[in-house]
Amino acid sequence: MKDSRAIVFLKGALLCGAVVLYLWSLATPPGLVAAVVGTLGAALVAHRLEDAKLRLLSWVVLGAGLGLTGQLAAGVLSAFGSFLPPWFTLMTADALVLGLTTFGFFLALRLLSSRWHVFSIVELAVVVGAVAHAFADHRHMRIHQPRFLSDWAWSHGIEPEPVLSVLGVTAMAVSALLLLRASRARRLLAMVALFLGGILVLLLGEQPRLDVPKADELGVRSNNSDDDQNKNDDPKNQNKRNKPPEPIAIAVLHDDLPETDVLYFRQAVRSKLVGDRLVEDPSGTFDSDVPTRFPAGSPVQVQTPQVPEFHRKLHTSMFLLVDHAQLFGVGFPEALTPVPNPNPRRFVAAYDVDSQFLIRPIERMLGRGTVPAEWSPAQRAHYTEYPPDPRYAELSERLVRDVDPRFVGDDVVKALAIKQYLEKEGFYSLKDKTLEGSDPVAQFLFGDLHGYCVHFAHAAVFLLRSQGIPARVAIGYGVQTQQRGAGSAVLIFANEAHAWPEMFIEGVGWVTFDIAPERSDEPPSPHVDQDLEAALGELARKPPPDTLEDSTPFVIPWALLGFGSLALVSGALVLAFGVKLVRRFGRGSHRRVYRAVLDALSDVGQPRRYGESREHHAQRLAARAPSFVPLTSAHLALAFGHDDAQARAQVDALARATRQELRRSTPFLLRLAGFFNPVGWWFTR
Amino acid sequence: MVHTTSMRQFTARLRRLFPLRVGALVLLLIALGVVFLWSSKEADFLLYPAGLVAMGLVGACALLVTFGTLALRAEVKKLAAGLPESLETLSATGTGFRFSGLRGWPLLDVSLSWVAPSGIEVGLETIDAQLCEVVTAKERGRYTRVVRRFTVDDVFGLCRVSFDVAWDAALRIAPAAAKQGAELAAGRAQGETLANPAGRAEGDLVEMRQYAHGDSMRHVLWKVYARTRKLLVRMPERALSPGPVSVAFFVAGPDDEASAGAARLYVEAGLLGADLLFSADGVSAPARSARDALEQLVDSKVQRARGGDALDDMASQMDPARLTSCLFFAPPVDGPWREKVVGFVRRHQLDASIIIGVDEGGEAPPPPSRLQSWLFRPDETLDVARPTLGKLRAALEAEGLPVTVLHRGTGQVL
Repeated sequence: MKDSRAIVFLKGALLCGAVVLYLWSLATPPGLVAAVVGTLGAALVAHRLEDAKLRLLSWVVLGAGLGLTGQLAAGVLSAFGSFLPPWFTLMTADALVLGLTTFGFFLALRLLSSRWHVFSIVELAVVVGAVAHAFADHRHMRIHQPRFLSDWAWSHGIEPEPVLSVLGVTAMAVSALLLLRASRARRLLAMVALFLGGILVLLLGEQPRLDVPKADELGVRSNNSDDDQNKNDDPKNQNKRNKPPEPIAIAVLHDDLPETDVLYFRQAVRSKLVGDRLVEDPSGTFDSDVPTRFPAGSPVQVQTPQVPEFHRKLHTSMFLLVDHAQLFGVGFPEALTPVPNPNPRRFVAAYDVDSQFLIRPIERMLGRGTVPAEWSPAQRAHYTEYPPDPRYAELSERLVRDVDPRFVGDDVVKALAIKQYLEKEGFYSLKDKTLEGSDPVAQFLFGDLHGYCVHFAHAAVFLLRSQGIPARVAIGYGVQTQQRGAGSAVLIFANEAHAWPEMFIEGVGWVTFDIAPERSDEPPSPHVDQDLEAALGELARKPPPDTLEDSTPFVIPWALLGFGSLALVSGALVLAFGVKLVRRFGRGSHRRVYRAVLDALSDVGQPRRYGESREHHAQRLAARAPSFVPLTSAHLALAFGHDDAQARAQVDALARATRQELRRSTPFLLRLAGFFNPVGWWFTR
Repeated sequence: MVHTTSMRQFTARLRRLFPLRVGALVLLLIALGVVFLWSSKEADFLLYPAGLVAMGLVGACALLVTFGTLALRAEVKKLAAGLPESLETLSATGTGFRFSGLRGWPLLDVSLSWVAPSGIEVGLETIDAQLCEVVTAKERGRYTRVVRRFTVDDVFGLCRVSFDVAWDAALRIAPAAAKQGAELAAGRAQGETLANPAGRAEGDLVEMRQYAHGDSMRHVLWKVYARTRKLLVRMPERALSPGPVSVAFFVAGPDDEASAGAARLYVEAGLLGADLLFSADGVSAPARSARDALEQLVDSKVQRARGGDALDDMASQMDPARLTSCLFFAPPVDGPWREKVVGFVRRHQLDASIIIGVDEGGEAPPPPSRLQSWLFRPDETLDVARPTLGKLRAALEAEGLPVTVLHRGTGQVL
């Protein structure tokens, strides 16, 4: 099953397109041209060699050798071509490397796929991968990238994702050409079916969702697993380090943003001591100020202990891009209300959050107690319990011993002393996310103090509790406000997952008491892509489709479809009859006269069969139209011999006779059907 | 061993019935990885639908091929064998077996092959919207059962299912006759000691002697008597061989189809008669007619491993004293048959010659260069006998047996 030359060119063009997409931003123009020439040349040479009894391993080695030769030649040119202009050396080396490498690679690949069909899958993957590579910027929910595509889509009132999806389907459908063999019929039908099937999949299927960030062993979610982190230390995986963080939610602020360095989006709290670590309280007795349930239909309200004098009410709308088991909101959420999802294909959940936001600095809370008198002993014990390791108390005692004598006994000052110690002595590093042993917090605190937010939060909570200060660990996201834009939308990324301590201050409520170590080996977090933030914010603010004021239910335009189909069919019929008439009354050339007779035969279901010679056709119909035999002979004689007026006149006469004979020998109904048959001529051979 | 073979057959059957080919499995694996691992990790809106389409493609092809196979099986099970009684090797012949070939099914292709008998090339021609079987046999033989293998695959080459359907039908495949040229060999086989086969068995009346009592008046030469007044009568010439004196024998062996074709030309040339017989491996009684001889040729295929065994049986069927010459049609590949033929000729002191038929003519191509042999595999389609034919010819001629190599397609003596 050898491909026709047209198919070879098409496949070569597909592979060339893939090469261009891969190399567009990497290669010099001569290099790009050489790569295209090499790819097309490889396709043609492989086609020539398809019938040869090849030793494929030899050709694969030859292909690899060509690639290496290109590298070698480019190296030699660079090393010894100092007398040449640098631009010439660069471009020639590029052309040599890319031309020979692509030629060798695609020659081997094409030969392999001509022998084993499974390698056609590799070719398909190369082409689809090239298209995906060209549009790779859109990944990780960066819907505003690539710019040319998103700008075009938004300027036409459509979102970029469907365009990208259609591109993916088209790339797959077109690349499927690489799977087809020349002898396979109905190629076009296959491609169209595949394309339409793909569009159907798009319509019925869902868009990809990002994975829920994994929780580490201490409960903080992150999009960097330990394995990834370890890999990132490897210089070979530096590109993975450059992998942009995943956006997981967008928060739309309906009020002015309060003055703060970090916006804390609390998701859960851990206050119950189990062994050597804190877990969420499963009893539901404590932490009742933290909403744990999704507001299905009706709002979820919690009793908040936050005192209004120290807080400001904030109203925000949250739009989750990634599924979360527990919802989160800025500050101290006290009410969650479901809202219509403006874009169900993009957002997995949408809800409003009413929360309290602390607006006073902690220094203004000096002198306040930390354990309210109204707390029950159980509540007091719950929030002040810490591991039975005496070192916690010893350390905290040592830390609070040195405070200003004016503030001795002030719990807030004690807390600040602990915070100061941890910030000064601690070293923030994500490399130490896992700790061996049974008590990772103790290992961290009484070890080298190298750790990450979970360690610091737990250590602070245990030290505070050892001083009798109620504290708990909050888990959620901490968004640096300096890194974000000026808009009212706040984009939250998975890498902003955070854990921080909360301490209770009488007359204030729970206070965020985050530890910010002074030393760190982590690079500063990159600036938030403001375009992405703005784009997602815009999408989140759009009213949901079913609440659009001017929206009307979609009605299939049957009348339009009916008239359109009728017009199409009528037009096709008029065209077909037009062609039939033109061909039927063709005069002049013997070919036209003969073709008109053939059309008449086709109309009554007697076309020349596939593989049948003209003479056999005539003989087959000799009983019905005896004149058709001499007509065919005369036509062939004219076609292969000299054309003269006498012979043409003979053909005209024979054609008339044939038609008369055909009329006589064909039943009336069949003749009638033939008369109205608009496409008989289509089957004339 | 039996267990291994049956297990292998069972595995092969399972493989034929499992629709997904390796390419489909690889594509499915990649698509699953893209959809469930890559896209959820990278939120790739382009590869995700492409992966879904790939999965859908494999699934659709598998479903289409499976249901198409069921439909085709239901159709062909109802059909008759549609076989002619006889076929001839090397010529494409329409058998009359026709079926719809899943014409209305999108993206499906149907192909047909023969499992038994083997060595049959099968093509399909579309006539009147039906697929018609055209077969080209490579080997002669006689069969009572034909097993056809129908293969349904999709146009992307991702899925394929094959199933076999058997028909009990008598089929005889005769070897294609060589083109002319064999008379040359036949003429050589007729020695001077042979009577003209067109003459009468008791000889012609050509000699004269004096009339004696009891001679028939019809044999008196009255014209001689009128001239010389001597009463002479005509007497028959002494017949040298009133019984068969020469025999042509077909030695079955590997790659013997071309030799069978040469033998067919010989037996159909009208040379067989009372004193020229034909025999082939697998039978003991020599044939005296072209029809019987052709049937012997057809049946001799199964004797390839025992080529030359029937020589002694044949000799025992005739008077050894009258067996004076023998013409052998031998395979182009050396084997145990050579010793048997040489021994037979020596034992009976025959005037013997050998005709070897080949389908590949001319000089063998020059051996490939080192670069060529590194890049290209040797051409396995070339006649396997060609490289060893020269040695065989030399070995036979060294035994005193003249050898004629005849090219079946052209009739040329090589």
